[in-house]
Parts: sequence; structure tokens; C-alpha cells
Amino acid sequence: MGLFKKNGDNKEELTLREYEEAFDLYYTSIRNFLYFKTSQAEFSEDIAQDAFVKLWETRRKIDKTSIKAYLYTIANNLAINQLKRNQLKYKFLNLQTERRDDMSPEYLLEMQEFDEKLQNTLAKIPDGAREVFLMNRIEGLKYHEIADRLGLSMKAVEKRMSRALAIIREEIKYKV
Amino acid sequence: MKPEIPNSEKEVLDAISNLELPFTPNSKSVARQRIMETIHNSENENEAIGVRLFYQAAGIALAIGLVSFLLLYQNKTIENIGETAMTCELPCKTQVSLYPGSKLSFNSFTYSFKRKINISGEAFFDVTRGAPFTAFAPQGKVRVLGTTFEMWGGNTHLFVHCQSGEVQVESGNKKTNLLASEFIQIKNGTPGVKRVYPYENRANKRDSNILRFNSAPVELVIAHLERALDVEIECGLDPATVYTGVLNTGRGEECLTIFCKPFGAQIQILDKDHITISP
Repeated sequence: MGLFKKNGDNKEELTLREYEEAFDLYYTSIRNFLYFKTSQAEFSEDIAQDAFVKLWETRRKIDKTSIKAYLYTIANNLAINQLKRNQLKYKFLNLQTERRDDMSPEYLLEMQEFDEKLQNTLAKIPDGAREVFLMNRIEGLKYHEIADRLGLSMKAVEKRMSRALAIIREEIKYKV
Repeated sequence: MKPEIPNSEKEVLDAISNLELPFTPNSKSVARQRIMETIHNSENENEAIGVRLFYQAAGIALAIGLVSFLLLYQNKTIENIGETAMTCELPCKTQVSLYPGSKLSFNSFTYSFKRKINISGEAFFDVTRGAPFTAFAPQGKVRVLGTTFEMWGGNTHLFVHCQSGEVQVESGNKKTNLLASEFIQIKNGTPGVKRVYPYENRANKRDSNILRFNSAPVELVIAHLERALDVEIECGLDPATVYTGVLNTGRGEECLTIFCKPFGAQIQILDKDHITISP
């Protein structure tokens, strides 16, 4: 990080360069976190952008050592406030499978059924557990990294992961 | 080879891990551009608001300063420290005869739209037409309704004699309207009875010690003697009784003896400031 300006509260004001660095480092993970939370792509992008605008507006008050946690907190709060206003219907993306000529209609139908099942399963996982689970599975973040970003303890992350896995297992068993 | 439909826990978890997020590759750069634009616009807006607030604050401060200056430093005081009456003219062309030892003050800024003056002592006013004219004295105020009048006022008394037109005398909650020739005296906040004495026969000329009365109510004579001798007289005579005669206040209390003679009244001097006249 570059130079910091001192402000009245003896906290270091974020410079534009540092702000841009923070954007490069955290924008994608914040946006993904919001997507894992809400399943709404456009909404996640909007809220992530709002969170960064908020970071700039409060650049004189924040502690530069906790920008990452601060961004997650802002994003989470903004999303919660927005979700209160709009009841979202969870709908995650379908599995990325290319349609090929050698795929029979039966196969495609079966794949579509699995896809729907998976979406329903993900929607059944409680918000907190789903975020943690998808951050781990899709973003490949380790437990301690998730704990660091969300301001959780390792134990809490483990617990949420177990809860998510239990629900998935239960659903698979039902399917099988 | 076409992918297998996942049917074990591992396969399902792998399928989840392979989910692709629905964001376009350039979504980050688009977001960056939008955020920077928002920040830039917000900074410009804040700057514009800051400049606007600065000018507004400066304007308000200037207005407050100007009004304070006008209210505080535009007070004019006219005081007659001489031995003869002085004539002065107020901004509205109202003529004022200010008698010795009297003081008149007003704010020349507010006077142009509210003709208000403070008076301590004696004065004769010839008020011009225009906005309501009000003279404040410690014991009350006189609102002029287009007139000429004489008044004097101290801390304990107020005397008003209307020459022409009409004035309104207000003391406490009580208002009394005086028409031409009517006079009233207010002592210690208590208004006396409104009486008539033609102003043309005005009791005295302020520049001389001679008081002339022609069938003047005793109350008026006493008021003039009190003013001229600077004493407080408690008079037991019927205030409506009239007096005709000439009194020379330059001779001090001797004029009181002359005044009392026709009534057969007795004078008792309690101290240098208090005199009693009893029938």
C-alpha cells in the first residue's frame, strides 16, 4: 500500500491509489459472496459497487488494516437491507454443460432434473451456511480465509460447512 | 465423451465446484468504471455543495453583521444640556422642542419604517403625517394619531397634553385617547382623570419662569409646578377646581403660597422633594 494521509482521528485516510488496489483485490470476491448469498447476479454486482462507493465515502474514518472485513460487512448489510425490501426467489445457474449432438433427449432430461434438484438443494441451505459452503467450493477459499473475510471464527465456519454438507447429503440420499 | 449425471456425494460436490458464475469477463472493469464515475460525480457535487454553503454562510454572516451594525450603531441621541429649549427635526420632518435636561433617542435605521422614539424629560412634538409615531417614556407610551402634543416623562410620572389631532397614551394595559386640548397625568403607573385645558392657553413657556393659567384645572397647575420646581406635590384640593393667575417659579416655593391663597390651602414642606397642600 502506498502513502497514507493522516486525519484528525489519527486514522490513515485511504488514498485513491490504495482504494483502487482494494478494488482490484476484493471486488470479485465481494461480488461472488453476494451472489452466493442471494443468487441474483445483477443485484450482486449493484450491491458490490455500492459497497465500494460507501468505502470511498468513509475513507477518512476507516482503519486501513481492516478494509477487507469492512467491505464484507458493508456488502452484507446493504444486501440485507435490500433483501428486506425485495423478497428474492433463489435461482442459481444451471450446471455448465454444453449441448452436444451425441446427447440423447433422455440424457438431457435427466441432466435438467438434476440441475433443478441442485438448485433446490442450494436454496434449502441457510444463507450463512450457503455463503460459506459456496465460497469454499466455488472460490476455493480455505476455512481460515473465509473466517477472516466474514469476521467469523474457524469453528463457526466449520459448523456452517457441516450444516451445508448435511443438507446436501440428505437431498442426495433422497434422490438416490 | 458426455459427462455422467452425478449420483454420489463426491460427484455432486464436484458439480457444485464446477458451477460457473453468471458474470461476464468484463464485469469487473465495467464495475470499476461505474464506481469511479459515481465517486467523481459525488466529489464534484460535494464540492459544489461546499461552495454553495460557503457563499450562503458568508451571505448570512454579512446580513447579520449589517443588521447588527445598523441596530447597534445607528442609535441617535439628542440631549438638551443647555438652559433654553432646543428645536430639532426628526428624519420624518417632525419638529420637536426639547426642553432643558431632556433626552430623546431613536434608531435612524428602524425609524424610516417605524417611527419610535424614547424620551426622558419634556418635549413638544409637531408630528408629520406618515407611519405611526410612538413616544416611549418610562411610565408609558404615547401613540400619535396625527397631531401636536406636549409631554414630559420621568421614572414615576408621565404628563401628556394634546394640542391638536389625537394621541393615544398607554400605560400598563390601559389605553387613553386624548383629543385636542385634553391632558392626562400618570403617576406611579396609575392614570389620572382625562381633563380639558385649551392648549392655546398653554401654561408656560419653557424658556421663562412665568406660568400663566386661565381657568386651568388644579391638576394641570400642580403638574406644571411639580415639573418646574422639580418636586412631588401631594394636593388635597379638588383636581377639577380651576385656577387663574400668574406664578413665578423662579421664586421657588413662594409661588406655591400664591397658588394656595385663593383656596385658603395650607402648605407643608415634608422635605426638599416632597410638599403637601391641604385645603
